[in-house]
Amino acid sequence: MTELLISHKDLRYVPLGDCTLVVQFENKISIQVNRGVQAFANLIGSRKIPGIVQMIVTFNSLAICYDPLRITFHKLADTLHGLEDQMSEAHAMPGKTVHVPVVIGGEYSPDLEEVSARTGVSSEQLIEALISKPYYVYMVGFVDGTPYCGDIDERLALPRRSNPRVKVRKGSVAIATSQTTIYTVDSPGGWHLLGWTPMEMFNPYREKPCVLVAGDYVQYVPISADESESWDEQRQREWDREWNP
Amino acid sequence: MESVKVIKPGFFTTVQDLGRHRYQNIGISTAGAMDALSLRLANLLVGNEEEDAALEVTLIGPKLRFAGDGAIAITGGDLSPALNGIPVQMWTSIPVGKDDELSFGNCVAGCRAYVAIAGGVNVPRIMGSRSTFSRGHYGGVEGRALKSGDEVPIGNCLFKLNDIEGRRLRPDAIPDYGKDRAIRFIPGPQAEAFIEQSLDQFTSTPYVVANESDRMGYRLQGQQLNHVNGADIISDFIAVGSIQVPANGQPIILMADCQTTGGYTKIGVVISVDLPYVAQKKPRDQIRFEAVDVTYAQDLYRKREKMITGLKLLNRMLPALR
Repeated sequence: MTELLISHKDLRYVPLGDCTLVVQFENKISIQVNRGVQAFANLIGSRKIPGIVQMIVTFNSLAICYDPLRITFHKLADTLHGLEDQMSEAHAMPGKTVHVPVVIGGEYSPDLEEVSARTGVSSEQLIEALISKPYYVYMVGFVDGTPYCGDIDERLALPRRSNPRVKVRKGSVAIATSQTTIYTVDSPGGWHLLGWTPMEMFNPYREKPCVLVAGDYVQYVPISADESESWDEQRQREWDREWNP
Repeated sequence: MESVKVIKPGFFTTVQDLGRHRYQNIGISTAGAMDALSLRLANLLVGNEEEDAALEVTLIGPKLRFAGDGAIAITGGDLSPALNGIPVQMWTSIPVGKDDELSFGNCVAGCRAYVAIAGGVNVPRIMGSRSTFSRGHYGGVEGRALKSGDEVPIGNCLFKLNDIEGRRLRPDAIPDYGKDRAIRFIPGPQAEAFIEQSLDQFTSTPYVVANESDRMGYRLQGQQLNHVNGADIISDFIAVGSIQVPANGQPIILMADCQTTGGYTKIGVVISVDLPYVAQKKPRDQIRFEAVDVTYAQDLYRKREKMITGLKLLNRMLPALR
């Protein structure tokens, strides 16, 4: 790639209460900016700064939760500021690519026709666009491991539904604005539903509760409705051996 | 004592500890006690570790029956606790015996009481914590509020009951939830997204806690706050205590069960030492806000932790069993 992978101009250090510091990057959603956030998180993590409890990567900011008994806001901000220049492309290591089986069509894609009608893109082309490339995971947040991934084909970009559904099925693969997500639990939701995965993206009882973390890529792989309905742990292990080694 | 039986569940009684603090990078709400200070103090009074799990009681208390001898401490809001029908003191360690019943009455001050039991509530840890996260259906007892018939398991008490009974806090260590006091906050991180007068408006008139207020957040009603360029931001991290202001200009304080990321401007974040006082507010109560800077807030934080460290040292001096 010719273009610079990361961007870290004019970082701002602001308090989010007395136990969290936020590093604000450029005010836009872009992979380049988010890679900068990711790179800074990796760099800071490698320095083992005393008092840092955890770091949360979001679209264009890095939240750092810390213990004020061990480091003050100003001391932490100074320390981080001093690290800025050491940030390099090497810190923006790309994450893993996770292939997610998705069944598309019929009852699994309740919004396919509407999205097609509103965007003027045929259902076939729409499906093709959705599965054509891996999506970058900007952040994992909201509730129970919700991934925010992008960017989808710009022809498919629609605002969220004006009338959100009361219940969206866990595993629903959805789009809104320039992004795509997978519902990790049954929940209310306003994204447009284009498919469904039998793969369990989130399980609080697993050692690693969440399949995706910020910086990963997700690639949708079409499977049949029959296959999706007979999905079990055994099939998931086979899938992961083949697709997600 | 092996367990506590729930005779009546009360309005919303849950198992809580200090919450999940290492999983917010994958969108896990911290949950945990709304008034973490009261939970810590209740635990320390009965010889537990401060982070042990206890019961959080909301507005209308439960009726609980103890399965054996033990010690309990009730802290937090004053919900008129009584043992076998006789009023009991809060903020002290009290002995209980087999089949003793703890009940609650009127809500006198605050709205959340904590019941710590020597040995701690011993449910499995999920992602490092025993806290109930009812929206996610995990933690605590089956991921939900307690209901009649539940048997809540209690861990082993490491001390002789005689040594922990009757322990109490210095009066100045006990928070006064009845007293009118301002809730202090640190402005930012999007304070500049509001018109210049907003910070003054926010701090000059009190807000009323709306009915739609729970462990996720407190909706407030009062002086409308105005944005310069709309209320939406690129979604970023939300710390517990964040004061979000959506387009309608009415603030929402996000609490223990809040989502980890959100797309509304934040005018500020309540300081740690004042969060317990927010947690004790109930619908129709008023909140006055006062802006402070981060250095001041962190001084108060250190002062409070020093007090708690003193109590922890006292616990270390308790003679262990055997």
